[in-house]
Amino acid sequence: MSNFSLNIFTPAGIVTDGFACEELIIPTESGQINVLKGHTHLVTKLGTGIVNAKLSNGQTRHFTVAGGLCKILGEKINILAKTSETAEQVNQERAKSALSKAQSRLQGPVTSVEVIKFQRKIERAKARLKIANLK
Amino acid sequence: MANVKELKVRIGSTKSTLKITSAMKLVSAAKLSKAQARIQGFKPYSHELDKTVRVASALAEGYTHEYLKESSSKNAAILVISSDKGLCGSYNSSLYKKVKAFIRSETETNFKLFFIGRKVKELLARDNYLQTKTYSYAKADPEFSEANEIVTELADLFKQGEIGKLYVAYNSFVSAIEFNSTVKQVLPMTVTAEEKENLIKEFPVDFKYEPSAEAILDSLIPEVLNTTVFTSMLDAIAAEHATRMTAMDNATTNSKEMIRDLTITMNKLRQAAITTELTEIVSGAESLNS
Repeated sequence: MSNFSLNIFTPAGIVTDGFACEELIIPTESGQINVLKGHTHLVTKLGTGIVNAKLSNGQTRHFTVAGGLCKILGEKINILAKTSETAEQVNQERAKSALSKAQSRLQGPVTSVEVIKFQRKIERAKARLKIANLK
Repeated sequence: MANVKELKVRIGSTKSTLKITSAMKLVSAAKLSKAQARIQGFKPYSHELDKTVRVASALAEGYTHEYLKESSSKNAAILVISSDKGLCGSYNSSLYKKVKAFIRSETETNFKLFFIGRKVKELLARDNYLQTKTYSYAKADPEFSEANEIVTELADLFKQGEIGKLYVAYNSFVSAIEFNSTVKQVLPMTVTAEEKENLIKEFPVDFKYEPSAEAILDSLIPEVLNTTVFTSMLDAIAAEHATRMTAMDNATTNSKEMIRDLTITMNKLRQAAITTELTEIVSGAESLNS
């Protein structure tokens, strides 16, 4: 019997449903949290990064997430992310071009709102590239 | 009585109509299955989000958000989601009737109308209701971000106090042959005291909130509004394709029946003409012999 059942839902569709895992590392807005058996009930805002889900056979599965909500209730973990992908779904070319585009835009004149926007884009692109190499 | 030539032309044109309607039926069926897949992918997200926010706002005592507050304003807005294209049975007319009845029943309120899709707009234009703005999205299907832009604009009106209530009117998908015309209130979001009680009973656990319940709710409540409206859009699109599919199926059946009837009439006429000609020839030959 596994410790957790992980659901990741996004507006674009279900990424994973009832995924059984033993241990999780989740990027929240205020830093990464490690979720072990018997974790307290928690509702938190998600940051941008990679969710690592450790399986009972020692392997690890990765999912990118960007913004949203994470709810831990007993052994059920629901992640409602604005976007989320598995390593297989990541388009590396697109992530690379998005990264360089956002970086070059940051060099030019930008407003403070745009700075945040492009920094988020960079974070998302970096998470995607990282997960693609973790495969 | 029409002659054989005229009937032949009519059969020909009905046959081409049949081809069009059966092709449109197939197209709608394909679009429907896509729309259904989309809504099924989206529903878990919106459902879970809605539930979390309800629970959190019920448990967080003394929390208020501007979207939760009742307003005294006598103005209200309706976002009417109809289709751009016709040939979908009673899809638009039924929604039109529903919206009109709703506006009539709320005599105290002044309504502003916002539209997605032009069909119901055209119908309502004849009745001189106050029409404000029409939205459209880039492609045939809305993107979540496009829906968010529309919602932000309407929510701003609510925040500024220009409108006291926001409704969404759309056809909700029930099955391939059925839809429900609905007018749903989306702002302010109200949770009744009874509902709160039930939620508290259902979730007796103590949640820990990070960074705080207020901060989470502040960012999630607008998201709930977005998902509610987006769900309505997806629902309306699924219903549109379903209705069109059914309408085109009926049209195909009717065309087939019409072709059969016309062919029978044509054959009868042709036979009658042949019989007359034969009788004439025989009687002509008889008169020569005698």
